[in-house]
Amino acid sequence: MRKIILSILIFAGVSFAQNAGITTSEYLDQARDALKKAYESGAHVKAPYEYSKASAYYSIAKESASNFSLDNAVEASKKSIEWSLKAIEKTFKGVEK
Amino acid sequence: MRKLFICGCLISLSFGVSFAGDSVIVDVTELQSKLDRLSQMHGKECSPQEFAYAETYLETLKRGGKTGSKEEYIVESKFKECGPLEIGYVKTCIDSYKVAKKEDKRDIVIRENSVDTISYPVKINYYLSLVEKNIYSDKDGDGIPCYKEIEMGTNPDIYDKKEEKPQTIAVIDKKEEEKQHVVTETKREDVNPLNQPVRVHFYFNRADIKKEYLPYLNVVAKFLKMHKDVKVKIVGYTDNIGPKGYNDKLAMKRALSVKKYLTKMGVESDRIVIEGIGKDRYLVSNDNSVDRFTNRRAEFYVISIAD
Repeated sequence: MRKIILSILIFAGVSFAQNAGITTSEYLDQARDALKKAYESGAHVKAPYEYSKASAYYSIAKESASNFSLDNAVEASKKSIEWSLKAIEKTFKGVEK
Repeated sequence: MRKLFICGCLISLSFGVSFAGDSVIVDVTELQSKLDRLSQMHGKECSPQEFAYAETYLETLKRGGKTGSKEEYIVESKFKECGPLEIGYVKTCIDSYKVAKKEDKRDIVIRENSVDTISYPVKINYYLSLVEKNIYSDKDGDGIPCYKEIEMGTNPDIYDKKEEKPQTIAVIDKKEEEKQHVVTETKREDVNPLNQPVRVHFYFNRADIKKEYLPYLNVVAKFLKMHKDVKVKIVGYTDNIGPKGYNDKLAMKRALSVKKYLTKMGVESDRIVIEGIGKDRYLVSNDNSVDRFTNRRAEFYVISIAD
């Protein structure tokens, strides 16, 4: 149940970000929220590689944004969200097993 | 006014120079091969966090520019004898030349000259060094490095005991002496304290037991009280200082003081045999005070299983 709610929330966030023509900082916020949800679901313990990938992309997104390369920041934010989802998925798969 | 003009010219020139090179070639061959090598050595399992960071930065470095490969050529040429400043030097002086292509291609990325282009390779190298360190680290303290534990299929975070071969001791049963029935017992090495080297070391020209060794002797006494069938021999040794006769007596005194302590702890005195070796059978050379301290000792030997 928790898995479904989390997935819907993140999916809604990503789709909202794609449709609304949002800014780089909003992308960064979405990436941070996804990372936070992954951490709260215990992904940093159960899926450390995936969680670290998400975290690394989020760091890159922040660095890129601070260097005014906004396209790279948006790209890295999207990747971060993608890896956060993977981390959450792996975490819940581990629980089901 | 003229000075200001010159300064302005210089500043604009410097800006021109610094922004002239827009793109930079980054050689990623070494970074990629290092990452691949660490991946084969289970870097992802041993150090997931650092590995993920290194991989991500490398991916971003590649994606941020045009990827390609660099081909290298070697030109071998033969020269005629020419004067150094001859006109048309290349045409007239080169006798023959051969161009050979180098076999190894190098992967490169052409990127904009930015902060990332310089900082990313540094970060990748940093994370790769951490991964390498974690691969060879032994987190659980069992003496097996992480990558070997992954290969063996064990958990690198949980202590794994090394496999010990059980030791077989033949024990003659006292009650069935007439039948001479031999019972075999299997005991693990870690259960029997006397299988471990038990040594008591002494100060120079002294035979009294140091306080630090009392816990060890208590373990030995407990073991001897539990196993009534074991007899031990305590042998005293000295360092190389002093005459032989004196050292023999001193060695005997050392063995005796250990025996006294054990009997005080409740071990029967007839189960303990003592011997003084003295100036012989050194463990290490007697070159310095630490080595001489190591040699001044009393050791335990299981001499027989009592009838």
